[in-house]
Amino acid sequence: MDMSHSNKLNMNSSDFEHRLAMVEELVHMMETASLILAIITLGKYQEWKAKRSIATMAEKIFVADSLLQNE
Amino acid sequence: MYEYIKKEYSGTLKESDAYLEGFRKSSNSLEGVKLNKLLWALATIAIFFVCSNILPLVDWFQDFALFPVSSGVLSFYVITMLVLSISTMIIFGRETFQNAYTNLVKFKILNMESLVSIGCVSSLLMTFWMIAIGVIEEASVNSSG
Repeated sequence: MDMSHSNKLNMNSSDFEHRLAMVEELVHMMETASLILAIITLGKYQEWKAKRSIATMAEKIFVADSLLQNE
Repeated sequence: MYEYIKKEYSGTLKESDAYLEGFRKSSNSLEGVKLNKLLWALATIAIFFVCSNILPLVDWFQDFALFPVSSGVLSFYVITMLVLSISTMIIFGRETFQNAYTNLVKFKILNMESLVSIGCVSSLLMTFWMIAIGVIEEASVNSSG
């Protein structure tokens, strides 16, 4: 670790390293929580696209008007 | 009445059946994640990737990451990331958490959404725990000398 950083913040080198490691660990923990949800959203979008195409295909094959006509 | 019987026998009577109509699918009934939300999710991924993986490698950023020193681990950087992650969890995770809770309480089942919820909530709780440890550590160091 560069000593100039710790000097600027009036901290000794080991304190600086310790606190920086703690902050990075914290940030990675928050990143984990958020990235799980953001990536799940991408998956859900793909799921919605697949469902929409299946619904469109089903609508073409089984037309509701002819299936539900009452004659 | 005569017209009705006449139509019935000629096969031209068209009567709407409430029971059959119940099976008709309403148009645009498929709900899901729209493109707008997908773009926000991609932007969130990019922001978190840059803030937590690229910026700490930059030399000048290491000073900023610990600023102000007097507040211990609760620097501006950590508070900004905390606000970002909590807002992300509310925006993208609210539906997932609600589904997981409903599935567990009402139907007594666990599925993928339960796993995601456990992962996210435990990660956030761990963050709060580590912030608490950092604050206590800082306070003990200040009081001792």
